[in-house]
Amino acid sequence: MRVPSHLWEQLWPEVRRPGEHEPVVFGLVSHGVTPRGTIILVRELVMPPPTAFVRAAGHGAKWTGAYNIALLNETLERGLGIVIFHYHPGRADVQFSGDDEASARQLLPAFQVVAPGRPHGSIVLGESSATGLILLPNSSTLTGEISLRFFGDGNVVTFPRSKAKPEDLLLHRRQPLVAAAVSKSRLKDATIAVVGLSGGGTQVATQLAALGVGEIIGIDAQRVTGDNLVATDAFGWADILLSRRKATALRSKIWWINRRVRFTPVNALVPERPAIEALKRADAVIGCVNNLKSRADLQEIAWRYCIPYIDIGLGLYPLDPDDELSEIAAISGNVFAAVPGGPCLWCTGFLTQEKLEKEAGNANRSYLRTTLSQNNRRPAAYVSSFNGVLAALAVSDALQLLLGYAPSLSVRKQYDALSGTIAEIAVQKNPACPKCSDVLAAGEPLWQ
Amino acid sequence: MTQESIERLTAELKESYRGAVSAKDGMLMLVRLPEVHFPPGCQPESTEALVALDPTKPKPDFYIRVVPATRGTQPQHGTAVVGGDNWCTYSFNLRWTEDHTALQFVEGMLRRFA
Repeated sequence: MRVPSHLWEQLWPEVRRPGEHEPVVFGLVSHGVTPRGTIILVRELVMPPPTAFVRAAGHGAKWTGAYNIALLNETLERGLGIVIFHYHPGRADVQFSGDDEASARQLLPAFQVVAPGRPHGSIVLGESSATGLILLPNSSTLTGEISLRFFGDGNVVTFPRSKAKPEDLLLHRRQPLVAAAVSKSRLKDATIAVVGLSGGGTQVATQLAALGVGEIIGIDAQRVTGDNLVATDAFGWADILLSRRKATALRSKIWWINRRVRFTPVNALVPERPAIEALKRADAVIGCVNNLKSRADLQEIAWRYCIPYIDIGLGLYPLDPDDELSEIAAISGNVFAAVPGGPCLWCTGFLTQEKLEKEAGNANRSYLRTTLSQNNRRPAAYVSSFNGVLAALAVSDALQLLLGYAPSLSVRKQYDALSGTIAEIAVQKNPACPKCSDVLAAGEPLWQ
Repeated sequence: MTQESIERLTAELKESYRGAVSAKDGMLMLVRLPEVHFPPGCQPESTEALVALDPTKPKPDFYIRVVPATRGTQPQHGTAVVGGDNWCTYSFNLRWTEDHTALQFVEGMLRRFA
């Protein structure tokens, strides 16, 4: 189950608020299906008003039938499921009470009768763990095999935490970058998708392999060409001679760096289906693509399934774009980590409809491929080192997401390759962003 | 498009195309058509299609799973993520208004490949 950061900021204090009864929050949820299992995505929270509750001996909280019906009507209208959240204080390893279980066994099948196409559940949160029961669509069996992931201030937290000795946890809290038990296990458990295996993406992948990230999914449909050799050190002349696909060539390189890392090559373009299916199961996506259209697609997929998206890009800007012999005015790059619930590429204005249309040559976006291929006739540039800077920044952001060594990610890093400097630009969520309201945690559409 | 038009068009599509299903996706109403037929001479002869009804746009958006080859060549097209899935898009200036039917829209869009 994944909870975007802005909802977690509301949920966590609300369920812990002292009151007459045990506080309860309802999550309205969508879902997506991957080969690993079902992802439940919290799309919205509903805080029941005090009038919804009734006094009941033996229950931490009980709400009226009328409120249940109103809630179910809303979920039915929106095509979503219901997850009940509450909190048990004190214990690190939280447990469902007998009453919790009895209520869940009674309520969840009733919810399923009304909204059969979405999952329903009851979750109890503890200080560093979560447990509960979930009823998946088309299933009559309640499952207790859950993990809850929420996005904090720039990092990803998963409940239940992997088991670790207290001294290892203390060391990790104080020195998260030390390659000890907790950090190693978090990296080993992670799956990171790298999209675009040219100058930036290859260097991202090799650094992730060195860190010991459990699985790297490399997505690129192209073969290695001579241009790639001046953009990265990950490919060699033999890859060109053998006309190897980038993803396949990189797999060999990754094996030599760290043979414990699983590298999954996906020879497809985003948004082709194999690429989307691979992205859905990633814990983070690092996009190293050279056009806005692909960025828009990646941002859409990442937001839909609540996946952090780190975007990098480098541009060489001539003084006169129409003159092939023009001097260079700027070489600049960007690194931006979008955490579900925080600002996205649309919020920051990095992506706009106007920019996408301009990129497509002001023609319909269906002609983008042709336009791009015309734009790509320029000779290759020696940018391996610049790509390396951006790759290192992106991998640092991925480390921050997984290990949480720094306070926040709410900045966009702008790299000026001519001066060799990096500027931090504060970014803010746009409350009117249509992508954040329409797409975030939308999951798969509920067809009926 | 008005909400009434969206509801009418959704119902028309479900009535006209066997097995058509709909889903709300944010502001969009998506209608998936399991099989639409291209004009004679196209290869393949049919494919799956998606109609996206957006209240902020004057007419629906149309997507197909596969772009057919006509007279041996595949027309220019692009890809788009809609409802979390990959669809093919193409440009075709169909004169269609809300007074027309959903069937006229879909069959009109498919004339691009005639």
